[in-house]
Amino acid sequence: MATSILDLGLDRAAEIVAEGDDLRLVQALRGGTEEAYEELLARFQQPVYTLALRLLEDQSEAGDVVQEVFLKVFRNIGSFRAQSTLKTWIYRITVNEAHNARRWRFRHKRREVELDPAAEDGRSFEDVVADRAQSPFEAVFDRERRALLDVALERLNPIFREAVVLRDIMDLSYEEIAKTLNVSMGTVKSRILRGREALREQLAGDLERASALQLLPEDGRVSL
Amino acid sequence: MSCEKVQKLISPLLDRRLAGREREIVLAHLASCGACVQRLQALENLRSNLRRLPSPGMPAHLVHKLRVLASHERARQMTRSSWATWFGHWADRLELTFNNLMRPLALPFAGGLLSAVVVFCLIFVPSFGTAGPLGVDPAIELVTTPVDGTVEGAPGETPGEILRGPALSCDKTIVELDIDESGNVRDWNMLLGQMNEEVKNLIIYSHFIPATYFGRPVPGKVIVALHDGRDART
Repeated sequence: MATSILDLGLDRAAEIVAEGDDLRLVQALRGGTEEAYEELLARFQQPVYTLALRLLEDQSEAGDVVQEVFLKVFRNIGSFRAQSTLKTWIYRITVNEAHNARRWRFRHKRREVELDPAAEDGRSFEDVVADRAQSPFEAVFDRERRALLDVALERLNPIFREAVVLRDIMDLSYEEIAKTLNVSMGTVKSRILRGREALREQLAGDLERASALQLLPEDGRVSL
Repeated sequence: MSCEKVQKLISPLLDRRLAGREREIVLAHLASCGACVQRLQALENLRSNLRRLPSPGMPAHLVHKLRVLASHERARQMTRSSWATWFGHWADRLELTFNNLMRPLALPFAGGLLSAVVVFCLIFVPSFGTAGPLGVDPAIELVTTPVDGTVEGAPGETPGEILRGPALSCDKTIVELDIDESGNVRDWNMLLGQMNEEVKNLIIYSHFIPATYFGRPVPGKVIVALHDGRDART
């Protein structure tokens, strides 16, 4: 008996739609249409950059990785067999490229000394100018929270970081993470668990304290 | 179930990866264990904070680079689609390479050619630049022979009348004249015909442009043939 799409779960239905979209996009890319290239960039350039940046914590390296990823995608789209979704395939390339970049950095950049520590601040123009949606206190709090998480993620073992980033930041399912990292489901569960635990221990109390700070004005007095 | 086992299952519980009996056991444990609830809250807080992390904006130059990359890769893909496009692509590449090689030479070449044309015109075309005197510069002719100029005529006659006058008595007379530096006839030698008064007058009152040697007038010789009152130099 044929199964209607309405009988399927929402996740599975969304997956089928995504697969259809992927096939259409892949066919268009193989045909070399300009719109296909634009669509691929529009759909994936931001997530790939976010993933690369979260895995490497370095803007310039993330930029290089993004370019490498899309170069490989464009050149190897002909060999994409649709055994996984396009998103999973592209994320797998990103994770591998980030891994290569990290290895290269470990080998070549260990002895480099940063001449301009201020550049490591990573605050863009948008971060510096006033955001009308937030009070200054909220902005400071958000920045503090982000900095804490960034540092904690950076210190995390790269193996666990990949799993946590893919799950909690990129919002991939366990199955997608397993395909992306090319590991078993049990390994995915284990890495996510250990990654989260390591983060929790690193941040022990920091995020809670920050949350409590959010309720207090700068002079420490509680206003009713 | 012990706290240690439950705490290992909190992470999958948050991700809704626990089902059935296992999930019920964990929930039942959490209902009665403050420490495990605290761990659940900590992980939940961590997860929500991670999810709230803002998506970092892509640098504009990176977006631009990706567009350029996509454009190049598309062009590369298109060149491989058929032999015609492949040849067209390589023809374009060759033309571009040739143009890039030639373009730096174009301005010096054009400048050199223009300069050569201008210099050529100034030197070899008389009407270009300094017109007139330079065109008839006698100094250029290093050695010249005497040339007959005007016939002054005998005393009492209008200059030139001898040449236009009545026909000479002889049919043909050829005379070799010796011309001095001032253009006057210094001596003569009859080569053909007879000397008479008319011929003598003509010779005596003729004035020649003397021969020159490096611009200086020098003596020279000229042979004159007279036919019926007209002369023809040789």
